[in-house]
Amino acid sequence: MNRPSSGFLRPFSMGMRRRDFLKSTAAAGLAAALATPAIAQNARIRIPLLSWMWNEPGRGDAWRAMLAKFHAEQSDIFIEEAGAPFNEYTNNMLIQSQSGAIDGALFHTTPDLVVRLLRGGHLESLQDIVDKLGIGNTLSAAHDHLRVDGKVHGLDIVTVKFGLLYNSALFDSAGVGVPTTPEEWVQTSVALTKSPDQFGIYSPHLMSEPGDFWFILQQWAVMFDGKWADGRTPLVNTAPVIEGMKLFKTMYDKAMPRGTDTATANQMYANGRIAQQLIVSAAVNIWSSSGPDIYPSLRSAVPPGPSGKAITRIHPICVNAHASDDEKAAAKAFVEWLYRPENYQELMERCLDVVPPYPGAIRQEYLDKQFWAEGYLQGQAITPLEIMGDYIFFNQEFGNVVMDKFSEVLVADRPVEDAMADAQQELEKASERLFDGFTL
Amino acid sequence: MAEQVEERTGLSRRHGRSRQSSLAYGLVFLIVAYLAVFILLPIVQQFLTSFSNNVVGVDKVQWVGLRNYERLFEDDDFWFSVQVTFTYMAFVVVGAVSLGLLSALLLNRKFRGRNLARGAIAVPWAFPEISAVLVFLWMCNPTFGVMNVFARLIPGIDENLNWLSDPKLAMPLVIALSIWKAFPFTFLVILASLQAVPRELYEAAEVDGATRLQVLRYVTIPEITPTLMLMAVLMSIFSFKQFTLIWLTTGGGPYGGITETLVLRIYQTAFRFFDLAYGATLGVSGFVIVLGLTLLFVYAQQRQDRARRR
Repeated sequence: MNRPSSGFLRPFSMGMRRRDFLKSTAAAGLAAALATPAIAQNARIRIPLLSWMWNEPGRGDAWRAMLAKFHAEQSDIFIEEAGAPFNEYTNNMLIQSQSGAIDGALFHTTPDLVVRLLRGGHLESLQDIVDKLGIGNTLSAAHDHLRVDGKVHGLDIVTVKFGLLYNSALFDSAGVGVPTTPEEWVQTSVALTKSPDQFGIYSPHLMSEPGDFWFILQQWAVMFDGKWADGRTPLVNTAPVIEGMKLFKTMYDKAMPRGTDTATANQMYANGRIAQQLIVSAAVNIWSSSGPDIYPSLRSAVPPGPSGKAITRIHPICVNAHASDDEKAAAKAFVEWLYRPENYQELMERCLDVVPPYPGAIRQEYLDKQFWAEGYLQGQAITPLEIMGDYIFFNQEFGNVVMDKFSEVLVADRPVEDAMADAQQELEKASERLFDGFTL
Repeated sequence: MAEQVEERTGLSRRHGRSRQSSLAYGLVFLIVAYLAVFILLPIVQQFLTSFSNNVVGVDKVQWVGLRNYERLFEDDDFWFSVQVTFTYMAFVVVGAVSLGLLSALLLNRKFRGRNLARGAIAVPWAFPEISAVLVFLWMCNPTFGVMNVFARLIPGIDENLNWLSDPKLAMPLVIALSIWKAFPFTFLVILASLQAVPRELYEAAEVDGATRLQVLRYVTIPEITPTLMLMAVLMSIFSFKQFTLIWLTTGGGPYGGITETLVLRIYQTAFRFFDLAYGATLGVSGFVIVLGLTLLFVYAQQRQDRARRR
């Protein structure tokens, strides 16, 4: 079949066969594809920052703004968003670490996760940054457990502290004051409860939400100066823990929307139908955007127990020890930039955080404006390591035993002492198995 | 010339056959490679992990022989979760197949709006599991849920029921939700099977003066038995593997693992407690159970086929 000649067909008509043409085009394409990233990489190194915060309203935007600022100030390093939502984040990271290395040069961690990663040798020392910035002497004591041979391996990017976050408008309309003792707290909560329209307090209590349940349940014992474990010895049947659990049960019976999941309860809180929550300071950032009606009325108080203690968790940013030297250098450059007082102050203000990692990281004028922060600042800080002992490595499994037994107290009215005695026995039995093969 | 053509044609035929068989081998290779990489390798890996002490954070992963299996046999919680699994499976299989059969029998009859009813009944199957659970949780909320509005109409119930936190109610509710979610599938398959029953059999039964119940018992049910058996096996596997509905409604609680099936236990052990080795051991036990169920089905079907041939 004769076809009219055209300019487009010239390569074939000039003696080059279709197959040759396709081969040479493919080869050129492949070469271009291989060459392009190399050129781009030489120009700008890309560092994924693994975090759960990208999915959080308020905090995610704050981090994006900080990255935009960093990218505007220099052109050698580009930090990319990566990671997973909070509920999947720890699992995701631990499974990556177990399979050899974490896929990212820079990542955020939680208090439980960071100790595992540190122990697994995944974290690069950040002491050089601390030394360069001259903050070694003023870095918060919460960083102490991140030191190996005196060198710190993670730097806090948000400290969350427990406090009693209450709706002052509901307190005023009920004519009740801020409680300072457990007895007063029960009375106040009961006075604020008009079921089913309004409830005095909410604390997660469903086995279908084990993460939230255990996270907050730990604080109930700490209010009575309780520790859940010391070293490898579980302490769940000790008097302070039992006192804390009894207080929870009283509140559950008298002032909580029983059987309600956390998402629903948060919505009720935002609508002014729940008066108080024992919750961490980072939550305020969420209420500022998702609960604009109650935000102006929010105030905090020290958790009303005899100890005055509040669990304080630092969430460090870490550099992957298994990353390449270039990636490590770039990741450290970003952390150093972030930790400069002017940048860290901006991060804290954008995130509405109030607990700084070192004194210069927060502006007093900003702190003075945070009308809700007083109680959070007054609570005496205690770290998860101090209350969980060596079980910090098995926090979820430990928590599961406690929650399972405590749920019998909540829904089947079993005496707290009996349930906690069972939990103690079960944990003691599990201890040998759990720590087999571990050298701490 | 003709010989040359024949020779050439023969050559090209052989060439064609060889190309065809290469293609066939290539396609088979792809499937075998896929199965090997994504099915066989993980199974082998799981078996190997079950013989190790692979806990996230352990100093050195070592071969521990049968230690995990010894733990499995002594683990009361494991045996309880097996018991829970079989209880849940039994109720879901019986419920979903019975309800599917009943609906199919009803909607196989001619009546006005039949197509609409058939479409409506299939909705739960198409509904995403997570959305279904969220609605269900709202309905069961002890403070605001609509279920309590109806429960309070029952004489003797003066207080709101704490549905999913009540150890007596949690399992029946999870089973009910699972049946609601699963039965439209059994309904559709059984309906298709009913429509394939030859009309002559019904006509013959009518001529013989059989009652409706006799027609059902001696014509319909025997004709659709292979489908019912298939549905029973599929529902067994569906309920054995069910995770989302149970995890999101009760998380295995309200306490004491009352609704904790084996799949939930595997998830908790491997991905919440990070005990990968014991999680793998539990997984192997689950694999053996499902394999047993499938073999039982194959055996039953073969036996039935033999009986039919006689």
